Formats: sequence, C-alpha cells, structure tokens
Amino acid sequence: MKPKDQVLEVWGEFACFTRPELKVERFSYPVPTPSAVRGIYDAIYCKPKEFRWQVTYIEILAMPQYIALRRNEVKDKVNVKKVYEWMSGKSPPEPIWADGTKDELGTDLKGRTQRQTMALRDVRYRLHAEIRPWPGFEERLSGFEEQFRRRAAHGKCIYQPYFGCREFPAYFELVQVGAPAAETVNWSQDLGLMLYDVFDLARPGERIMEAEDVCISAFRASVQKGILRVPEYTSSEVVKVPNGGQHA
Amino acid sequence: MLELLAKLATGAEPGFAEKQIRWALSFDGNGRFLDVLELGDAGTKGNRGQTFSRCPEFIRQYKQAGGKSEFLWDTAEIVARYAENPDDEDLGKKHDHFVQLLRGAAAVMPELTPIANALNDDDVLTQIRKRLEEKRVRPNDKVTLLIDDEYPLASPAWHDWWREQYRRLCTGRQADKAEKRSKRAKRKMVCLVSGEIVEPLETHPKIEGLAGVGGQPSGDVLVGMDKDAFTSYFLQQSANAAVAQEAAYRYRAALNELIRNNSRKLAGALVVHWFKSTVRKEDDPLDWLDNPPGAEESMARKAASDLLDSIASGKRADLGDNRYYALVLSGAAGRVMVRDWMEGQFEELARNIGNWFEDLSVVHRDAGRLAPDPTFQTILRSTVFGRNPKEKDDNLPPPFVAKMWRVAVRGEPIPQAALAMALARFKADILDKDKTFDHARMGLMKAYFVRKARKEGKENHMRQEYNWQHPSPAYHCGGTMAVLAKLQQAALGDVGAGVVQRYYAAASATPALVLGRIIRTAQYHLNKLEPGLAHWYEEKLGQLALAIGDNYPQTLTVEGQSLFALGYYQMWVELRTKKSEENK
Repeated sequence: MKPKDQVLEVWGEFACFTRPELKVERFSYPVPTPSAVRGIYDAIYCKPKEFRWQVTYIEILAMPQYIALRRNEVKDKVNVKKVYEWMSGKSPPEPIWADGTKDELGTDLKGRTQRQTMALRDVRYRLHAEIRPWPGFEERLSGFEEQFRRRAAHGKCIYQPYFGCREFPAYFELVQVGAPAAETVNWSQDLGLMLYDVFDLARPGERIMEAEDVCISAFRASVQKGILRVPEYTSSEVVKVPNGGQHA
Repeated sequence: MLELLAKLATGAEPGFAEKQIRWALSFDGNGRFLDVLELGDAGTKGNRGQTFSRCPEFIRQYKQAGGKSEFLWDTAEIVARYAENPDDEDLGKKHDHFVQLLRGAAAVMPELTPIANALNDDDVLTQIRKRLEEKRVRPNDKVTLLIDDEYPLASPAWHDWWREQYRRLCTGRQADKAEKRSKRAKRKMVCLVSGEIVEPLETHPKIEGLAGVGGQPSGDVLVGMDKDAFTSYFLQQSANAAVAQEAAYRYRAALNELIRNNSRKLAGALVVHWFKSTVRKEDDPLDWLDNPPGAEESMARKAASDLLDSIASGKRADLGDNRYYALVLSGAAGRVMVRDWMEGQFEELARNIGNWFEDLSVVHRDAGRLAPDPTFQTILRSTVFGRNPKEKDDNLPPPFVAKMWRVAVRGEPIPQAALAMALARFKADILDKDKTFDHARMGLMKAYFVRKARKEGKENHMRQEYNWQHPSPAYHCGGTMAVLAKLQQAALGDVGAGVVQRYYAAASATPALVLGRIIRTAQYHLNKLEPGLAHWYEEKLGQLALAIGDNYPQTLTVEGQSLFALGYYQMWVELRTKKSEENK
C-alpha cells in the first residue's frame, strides 16, 4: 500500500532553523530543514520503533523575513548525571548560573552571555510528509495514518510543535484531502548545502546517547517558485556517512 | 554561504595564509644586523604593512600548547624578545622555537643559518631591541626578516620543506590526538562546505580585520563552539558543524581577502560583498551607495536605468546572469557574528539600488533642480544627533544600520523608526535659524511614504516638488506653515524668533488648535505688504485652505507630522522658485 500525503499548514510569529556552522550567534536558514519539519510531525504523532516520517516537500506561503533578536543566554547545560545524583539523594542540587562573571564563578564557561539570533518572522508553510512503517509494521500503515489525521484534526500533540527552537511555537492545522491548493510565494533560489537531519533515519529510531549515534546528513536545497522538494532520505541526493557514521 | 566563500578562494592551502607585516629586521648575508625597516606605506598612520600572500602558518591547536612561534614571521615580542622582561621564560621558549625553525629550514635555505645565529646572540638582540624601541614598534606588531634586500618569506624555496613540517606537526598531531581520544575525533562526517565525507577540523582558523567592529586584533573565529550550551548531541567543538580542513582554509582566505579589499564599515559592522562573476567597479550598484556616480543630480538613477536597459537589450548579458552576495559581519568576544546575509540576481540589485535613489530624490533647497544623490552614510547620519560625522556614526544603533542596509539593497519598506528619528532631527534643526534643510533627511522622509504606498499597492502622492493634489490635510498644513513663515519674513524681515521658532512644534502636533490662530495674526503682516504682494500671499493661503477643506487635523501622529514637515519643506522651496522667477 502506498503511503498517503499528510499535509499540515503551520504558522508562527518566529522561527529559527539554525545553520549548524552559525549556531552560536544563531543564523536561520531561510526555509525549514527537513529535520525541523519531521520534528513538527513527530510532535503530533510519533512511534519511532514502528514508523518514521519522510518529508516530501515544503510549500513556502510567506516570503522569508529576518529579524535580529538579542537575548541573554546561559553558557552551560544541565548536568544530567548530577541531576540523577540529586534525585537519589547522593548530592545536593547544583544550579545553573544564570548570571555572574568570570571573577564570581571562577570560569569563563559558566554564567550569562549575550547572543544574537537572526530568526525568521511571520512564517507560514504547508508541509507534506508520508508515514514510512519500519519492517514488520507495514500492515498498520492505514491505522497510523488515520490516527495521525484524527490527532492533527483535533489539534492534539504530544508537545507543542516548534520552528527550530522550542521558544518559537508552531501552530498547525490539518489540511483536508481536496482542500484548495496553497498560494506559494514567487521565489526561487539555490540554497546550497543544507542540513537534512541529525538522526540516522535509515534505522528504527533510537535516542542519541553519545556522539557516535549522531549521523548528520545534508542535501542540496533549491527553492523553485516557493517549493522546496526534499529528496528521499535513502536516495543518493542526501549526503551521509555510510553505516550511519559509526566508526568509519 | 561558506560554500560560496570557499569557492572564491581556489588557491588557498592549509598551512599557508596571507599576512600583512609591518616591520622587517634587515641583515646582510653574514648575519650582521643592519636596521629595522618599516614596510608598506611607511610613516602613515594606520599603516598595516606589506602583504605577503603565502606565509607559513601553524594550525591553532599546535600553538595553543604554548612555547611555539610561527616560521619566518611573528610578533616583535617573540622574534627579538622585545618585551618589558626579555628574560621571561615563556617568551624565551617561543623565541627559541622561532630560531629552531630557522635552523631547520636552513637545509633548504642556507642563508638562514647566520640569521639564526644572530638571533641567538644577546648582543645582537639588544641592538635590535634598541632600534625597535627607537622606531616605536609595538611588541605585538608583526615582524619578518630581510636578508640582503630579499625577503625569505617571499621566496618559494621553503614551501616544500614547510609542507612537510606542517603535515608532521599539524595534521599529524591531529591524528595523534584522535588516536588518544579514540573514536571521537576519528569519526568521519559530512563537510557542510564541500559535501564530502571528511574528518572534521576541531578548531577553525581565525578571520582577521574585524578589530574595528568589535573583533580582536589577533582575529576571530567564524565557526567555533567552545561553551557547552552551544554544542549539541554530545558533539565537541567544531564537530557540531563539520568542515574539512581544506574547506575551512579556503573560506578563511576568501573572507580575509574580502574584508581587506572589498569591505565597508557601517556603524559597528562590516559589509563585504562579491559577485558570482567579477563586476567592474563602475558597474557595481553597491559601490554607488557610497559613491553615487557623477556629481550631478540623479546620476545614480540614470546609471541604474542604463544598466538595466543594457541587460534587457542583451548588451550586457554577462550581468543579467550574474548574482550578488553580501555579508554583514561584526566581532563579538572572539567570534565573528554574521548579522545579515543577502543574495540575489544582479538585475534585481541594480533595480533596487535605482529605486533607492529614485525614492530618495527630492527638490534642492535652492529650488529649480534636484538635490544631489546622497550617499548611504549621509542618509544614516541625517537621522541622529552629532556635532561631527564621527559623533553621528557613533550614535547610530547597529541594528538600525543593518536594517537600513536591507532597505537599500533589497528594496524593503523603510521602518517607521527611521521616520521618527529623521522627524525628531528635523524638528530640532528647524528651531535653529542658522541651519538649512538636510536633503538626505527630507529624501528619507519622502522615501518612507513612497515605499509605504508601493507596499500597500496604493497610489503614490509624494513628488519631488510640492504636490497640490496631495490628499493629506497634514501635508497642506505644513505648506500653510511655510507660507506664513515667508509672509512674516516679507513683512518684518529678520525678527529673531519668528513664527517657525515659536509655533512650528505646536502647529505640527496640533494643527487645528494652532494654525487658525497664526493665520488670524498673519493679517497684521499682510497689512504691511504692498497690495500686490499681499494679494499673492492671500491667494496662496486661500489655495491651501481649499486643499485642506474643513479637515484641519486635531492631532498628528509621527506619519502626519512627517507629512507636515515634507509639506513645509516643499512649499518653502516652491515659494523660493516663484519669487526667483518673479525677480527675473
């Protein structure tokens, strides 16, 4: 059975699909990456061990407009190990220092820092994706699809979908079969090499537990009349390390 | 973006970099120290020295370990132990490393041996330090060697030897480290610049030349993630954005070259731009923003339309197919911050720049002609306070400048903030009788309305001269104010604080409340004039009253006040025209 096209219309005030090479002072790609779109579908319905989402194309309904934001951010991350220790009563809680200078904290790697984000504003897209069941779950395809459509039609999601960064929520609406075609922007541009995904989509989904699990893939993105076609993950158009990048 | 940059620099090779070096230690062939020479534009302020296109350069990690120097060039501090404490142990190690490299290279360049000996001699070093001090060399200035009027740095004799050293010490070192760290660094990833499967570079080479815009003199990195919060999925440092060593060196070389030769400073940021295929300077629309072609009025617009015509007619098919790329950069704590990135068709760029000048064009205050095309910087400066251009530049908020750059290059609407800033300056200046109108400011205010109408798909009512058919009462209220000011001047001559100084601010904010009263008192002025002239002024006021109708606005917003200001200016010029015509 052929998977059906699942269409969502999504919009929001801000979006930041960060270019990996400019991720400190964040700079957004002008269009969503396939992984950001996959993330939106995953937020509504996902069963990583049973199926994966394959994004097919993205219709851009509003011209990309950039906005510069400056925010205070922290330099370090929560230490998960310390949190577990605290949970089991082995050590006192250790806060993240949201403020403080090098003199006060004794290190330049903690505390507050001001960073810029070149985000997109007032975005609107029509997304197209298909469910790809993993071997052994092919027969349940129509069940998955029905489930997704029911959830999306009722506005249900596991967590709020977002545009690249969690602080930029994505609002969504299921586009019913036979709905009028969207009006895309008249914009064509070659975007060069763009991030495809960080996860290895060729294997049933597992959490990334160490750097070895990361499998960054990229593809040549080109917007034609407001439409970004996304190649199939398994195709040769997607550049990726053979064997999922494991100890090449 | 990086991919495009990397494509620009085809000749870049890891281990080699272009450097600007300001000083040379001159020796004769026997290693006798002769003098310290200044290279480049000697004696000028801000002299950066001579450019050497292929200088040896170690990878950053190699030098980070400490006690290391570059080969054939480095800072005066290291080469001559030129510091407050020349016997400092760390400095000593670096200096020894410099000498040691010279000795190593003597196998292929025997002339380096006597120099290495000389640099090991404390007496010679004291002599060199004395000359450096006399020449006021700073310890951080770069220094190279000159032997019998030849720069060893410019010679290709050491290249192969150096490649071998570099491979052994830098790339080899990476491999050693990778071994120790087991899988992590050894992993292959997709290079985001070239798309090839590579072993990513851990730390990227530095971009130079951003010291004037928040960067560090020693350079800043474009791709670098040293803080935990900016790394993802357990990836370390630049593995977060995998780039091959060759690609990193290529984009660095291209960016350094662009910054040095093809950049302009815009309030706290540096703009670099380039084209897919080279464009002559006189055909470069982005260059017109700084240097509008021709001293005469509207030459920039003409240049743009001529260029567009020749593209359309196929005469300049080369340009039709071309693309432009522009990058706005600044420095932030050792990192290069990309503030903006633009790319598009050359034709679209020429059209946008043409529109920019067209929208800004406004009648000259001397009447009878148009004001000259303003430079981009003049437009920006017209919106802020400052006693001199430098102070104005300092007062410009960088995000505003970046936005205005987009406005000019991409043809975006002008933000209301720009209008408010221009209006505030206009209102402040008008109180000072000695100040004349600023064309750039009036042009900017006019362009705001032109672009607003264009964006909303409405008819544009702003003209270069006064438009009697303008539908806005606020605009004609401004015109009325100009007539009243001229009338007072005609009746009483110079009166100290005139009607403008006394009432402009109030009239432009609340015309209904103030204008009626001034028009009433204008009767006294009319009575003082000879009947013919009085009639002429009455007629003008009558025409304006007709244009306003019964719609004297109670209060005016920023947009309304700006229309008032434009009406005032254009009527002021119109009255000048009429009078000068009558005088003829």
